[in-house]
Amino acid sequence: MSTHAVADYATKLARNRLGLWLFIISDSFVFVGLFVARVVLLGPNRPELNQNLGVIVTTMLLISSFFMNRAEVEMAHGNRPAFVRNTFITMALGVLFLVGVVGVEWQIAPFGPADGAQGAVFYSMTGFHAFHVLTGVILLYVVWNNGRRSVYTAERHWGVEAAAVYWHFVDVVWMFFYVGLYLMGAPV
Amino acid sequence: MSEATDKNATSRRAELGTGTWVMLMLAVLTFGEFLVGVIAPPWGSALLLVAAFKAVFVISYYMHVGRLFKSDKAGH
Repeated sequence: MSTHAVADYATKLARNRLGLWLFIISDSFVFVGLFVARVVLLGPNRPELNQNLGVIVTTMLLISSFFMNRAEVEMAHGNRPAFVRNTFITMALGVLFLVGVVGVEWQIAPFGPADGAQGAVFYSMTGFHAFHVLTGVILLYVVWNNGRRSVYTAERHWGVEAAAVYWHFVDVVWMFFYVGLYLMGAPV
Repeated sequence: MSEATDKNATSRRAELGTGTWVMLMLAVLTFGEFLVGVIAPPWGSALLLVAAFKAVFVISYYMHVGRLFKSDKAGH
């Protein structure tokens, strides 16, 4: 690769990173808005939720971030099989998180979306976050599939980096939502 | 060639090690949050501080926010 091509790629990469972070900052305003709504509407109370399920799904998301980081590191060092394996585990944990929140917690919660402030807060926060997790899983599938077809190299794998940053962002959001929904205040 | 391979392997091990260390830190803090949330729910503000601390770790070590401020020659 010529020096000129490398410089061009580096410039493009810097722009891509800036664009991704601007998107993440703008997206995080929506999550901040939802969190503020929770604080205003529920105050010192919290929805009555299954604590064990809460810590289990949170742990799944944290572990998924760990495997996503491993996937990115392995790709950056040209270890494609390990990248594919770690990305698959990340994806699987993301799906399990969705099953835990949408498939289980939504079904066993003792209130529905229309049952006052706690219903509105809980379903809008978890629903909006779950939508992001679903988007992340789709993005990971694309990256995983590209990885299997050797699209990425150790030198060029912006797609992997972008998917990883997005996935970790979803994890960071849940760190606050977990506290806001499951831990802060007394159960209603 | 061999020196470059060794360097690559060392750097890979170091990066994976950092990832594991951050994960352990997050696990301990999350377990602490869980215990405090169950035992002393009114400590909401303290729990938010712990969450912010965890977020800083993820943003720094997993999201590599520092890459925004330096230019890569080869890049990803």
